[in-house]
Amino acid sequence: MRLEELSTKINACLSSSTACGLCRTQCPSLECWGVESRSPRGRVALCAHLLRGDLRPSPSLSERMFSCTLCGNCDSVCPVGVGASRVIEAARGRLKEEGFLPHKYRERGTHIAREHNPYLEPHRDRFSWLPAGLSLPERAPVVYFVGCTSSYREKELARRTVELLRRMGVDFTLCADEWCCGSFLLRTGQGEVDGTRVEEMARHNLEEVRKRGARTVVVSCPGCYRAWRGDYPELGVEPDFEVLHLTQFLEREGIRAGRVEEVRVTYHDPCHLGRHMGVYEEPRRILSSLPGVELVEMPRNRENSWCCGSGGGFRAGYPEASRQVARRRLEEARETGAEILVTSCPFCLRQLKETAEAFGYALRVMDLAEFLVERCG
Amino acid sequence: MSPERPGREELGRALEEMVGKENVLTEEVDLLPYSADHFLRGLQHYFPRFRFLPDAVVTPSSTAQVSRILRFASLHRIPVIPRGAGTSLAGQLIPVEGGIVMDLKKMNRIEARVEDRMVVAGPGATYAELNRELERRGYFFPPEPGSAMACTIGGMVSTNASGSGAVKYGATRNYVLSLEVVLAGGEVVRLGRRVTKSASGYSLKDLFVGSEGTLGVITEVTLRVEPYPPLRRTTLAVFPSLEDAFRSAMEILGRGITPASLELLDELCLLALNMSGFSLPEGKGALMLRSDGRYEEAVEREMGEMEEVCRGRGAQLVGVEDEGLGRRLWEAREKISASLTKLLPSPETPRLVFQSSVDVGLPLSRMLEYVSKVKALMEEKGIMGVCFGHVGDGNVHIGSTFVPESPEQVERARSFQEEAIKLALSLGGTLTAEHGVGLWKAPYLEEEHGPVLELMRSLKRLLDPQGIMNPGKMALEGIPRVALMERWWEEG
Repeated sequence: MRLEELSTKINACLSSSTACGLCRTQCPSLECWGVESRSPRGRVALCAHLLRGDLRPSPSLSERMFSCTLCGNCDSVCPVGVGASRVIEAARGRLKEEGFLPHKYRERGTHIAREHNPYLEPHRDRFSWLPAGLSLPERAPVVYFVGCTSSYREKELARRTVELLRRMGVDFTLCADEWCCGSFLLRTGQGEVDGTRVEEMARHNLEEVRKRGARTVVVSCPGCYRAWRGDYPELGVEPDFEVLHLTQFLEREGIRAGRVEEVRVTYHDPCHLGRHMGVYEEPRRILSSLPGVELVEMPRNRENSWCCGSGGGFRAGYPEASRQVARRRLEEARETGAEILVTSCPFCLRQLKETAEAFGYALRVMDLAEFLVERCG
Repeated sequence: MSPERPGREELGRALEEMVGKENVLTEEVDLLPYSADHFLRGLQHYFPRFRFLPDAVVTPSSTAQVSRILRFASLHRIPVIPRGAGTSLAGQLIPVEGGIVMDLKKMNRIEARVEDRMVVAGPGATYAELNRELERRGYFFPPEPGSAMACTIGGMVSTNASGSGAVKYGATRNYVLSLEVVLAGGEVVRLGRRVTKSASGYSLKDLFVGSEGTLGVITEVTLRVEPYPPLRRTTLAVFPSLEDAFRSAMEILGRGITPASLELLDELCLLALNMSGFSLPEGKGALMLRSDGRYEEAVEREMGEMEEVCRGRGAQLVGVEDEGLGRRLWEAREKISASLTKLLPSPETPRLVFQSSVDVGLPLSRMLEYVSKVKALMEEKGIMGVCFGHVGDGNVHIGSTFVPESPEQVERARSFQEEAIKLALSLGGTLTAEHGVGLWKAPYLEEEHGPVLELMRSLKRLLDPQGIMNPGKMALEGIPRVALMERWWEEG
């Protein structure tokens, strides 16, 4: 969406009876830097100045807009329904058009257009994690859409997901020529890169699924899930099959647990799955249904869950600040007394796991798929 | 003679030496969001010439740093504007003469001392954080303003903030036991002792409560705390007329009941609550009643008696048994202004500005007369607006709307607000019960205080001889042009 189209929302935020600052209470980047220009309200004010033309695009402005996780916590507390994260996303698009896209994001964008992933990896290695000797059918009723992060950075998660689906007896396959879903591009204001538009990527993925004859696409990455269910339709690409997040699919199909040892777990809501797409209860119901599992909540959960610090390109652009955000979440998890923090997102998994290891948290961080493979073993 | 006021770059370098580079902002993108507060932001949007950029923003993390900055600022006569969360409603934070905005967010320490029934907090601690810490220990700091989730303790003390609980629990002033303050010249003083009672000398801490940053920077606050009432009950009473709602409120108070909250809402406010997801009955006026305490029988009896009064005037009652639902209803009440902003603009008037700016306090016996006259004034001037407030303590809020593109509408809204304030003063009221004076109410201060305003100005000169602390506010140096709303249109 273009920034101009959001001007009514921006005006509503800044009208003299609002600009209330509620969004300041839940903002990871404000927490890191502590200054107004890195708060949702401050960024919306900057966008108003940009729209009015009394603030010119600049590298500094770009930097303030990109130092946001787009977690959407500001959106959930906003009494006016401004949607600051959408405004910030649109501002990124405007800054990209004006030539102020930070190099790191441009480089990854270009790579996506060429090699269909943001990790600067070759496309041919996308399924290098697949266990040797595993044979998947050409066509199947279910397609597992793996996503870039599981394919290139959290390969074990991809393997575990496949293992879980096989143990459940699901007749599934993969898209042989799966491309990046485009979430990274949309979140960083790059609706089009080097002549390639995200709509084209969406259509390609859609065709890939159709070729497999699938009626259901299962995605384990919330970024991909939002792309398929939220962004693609907005771009005019409507899937004619159902798209489910893995947690939704697992709950529907049913899980049978084998192990019954008692364990206390807490669940971290990924921003893209929870706040952005409203999937809060399915993973909780799965966890609560498992014998021996005690699910305890962190004080901030569901709509006001604290971000892991990985989203919106934040981890790539601000590694140190992103760890600070993650540590805050790990502290909350530790205070629950849980032994395991379960999430359902490869980004959150990677971010929280690495931070927990780096700072010596005695807390296991696992994706729900990994946890289930272990419990159902 | 004072050294010359340094330019922006030089100022930035000097501040960096004092607090470190990471705590100083001088780029336009960082300064712009500090050029307005809750009050001016929307208007600035429409009157772009009112851009009051500070020269620098500094984010100190200790009293020593604040002291160093003020010593320097005083020497060079640089304005200093202390700032919390920027939720002020009267233009308290606008750097009308540039200078240094001091964002105190990093000074957010909270130390609960419940054994002494008090809490020590930095000015940047938020009300919500403070109460989270206290509630875990069974206590709370009661004066809950509408901005409770975001506002800071420093801001609350500086504006003597309060909210819907003031009828029973009072305003911030009633809880301040001691303040650490850095005076304009950099001297650090402690005002008051950390005791719950003192009869020792002038209570200078009280001079700083509500001083809006014009006398010094508050760097630490010690507050009295109250045991958290474990029982809270809420009832919403919807009436066939606003007058019935009002008369019921007066009868409740007249019976000697002091409810935890007693809020008056008009028809449009009810609509705003329904927009927040509630399904409340339609009516012309409503009361939100809250009773709290330790003993169920006492809470039930108090609420029962209030409900009986309301029923006697034809009210439909919506009892809220569930505390979670009650909390959501009170949260929605606090967001009424914001909800109205969502409600009011239409495709025909997409740029309708809603300004909830009148915040007068009245003797209880004059409130009905005031509300009736204001409603008549609205009608006469063709103003679309709302009337609500903390009826239990005589505090009335009036919100009005205008289309900023229309000079005629801007002027009509301005003259309406002015008349609403002057009417309150003529009835023995005060021009602000909880929002403070700031910029926009400065033109009316003399009418309320007469020659006492000069005494206030003398105190200001005594404590801030260089006039660096938050200049332009509270009419202490005269009335800045920006406060004269009639000039906004032609200058904007």
